[in-house]
Amino acid sequence: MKKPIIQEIDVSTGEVVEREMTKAEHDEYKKEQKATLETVVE
Amino acid sequence: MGAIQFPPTPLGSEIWEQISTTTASGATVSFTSISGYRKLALLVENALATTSGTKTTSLQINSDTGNKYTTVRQTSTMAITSNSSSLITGNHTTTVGLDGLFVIDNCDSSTIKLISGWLFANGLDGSVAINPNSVYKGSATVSSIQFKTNDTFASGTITLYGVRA
Repeated sequence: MKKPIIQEIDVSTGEVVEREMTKAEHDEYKKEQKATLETVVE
Repeated sequence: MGAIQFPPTPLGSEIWEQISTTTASGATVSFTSISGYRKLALLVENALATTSGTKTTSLQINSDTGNKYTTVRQTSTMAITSNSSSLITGNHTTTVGLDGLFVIDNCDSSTIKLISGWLFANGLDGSVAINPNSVYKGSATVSSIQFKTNDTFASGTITLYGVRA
């Protein structure tokens, strides 16, 4: 599975870079996907 | 005697300046290399999800995924989320975009950061306005802000504003 993209904007230079998530970021992303409805809908 | 200024500048006035703006894409929009601001504000306009179903947006400071975010949100009821790994900022779908403003105070200090927010049009739970008032218990000054979805952003505009220290 292709990892999602992170858009990074360096506000000091205005440079915009799009990169794939690291493994750690992707693991966090997958954890957040599972948590959606448990934490938000009240 | 100096010249009289009119209109007078109120004591303690704040001048907000636009730092950066972008069209939302990917799963995370990260503003980096932030420096020299006492307050920061993130304005999110009509951020839509890509995939069907209810998706969740959230905010992090300095890419910190530690359990340092505590939020009180007011919808039809009160909800408290303590010590979570991000600040939940509301739901969105492919047709209901997230509109919100999130103001972070104490950005240049080594104490906790106070975050207040207003969601203008999150219609998913029947509320017109939700006011998350939050604390981020990180001690470092704010050098980056991440606005995230657990999907990917189909569209939307995200703008960062600041008040200089």
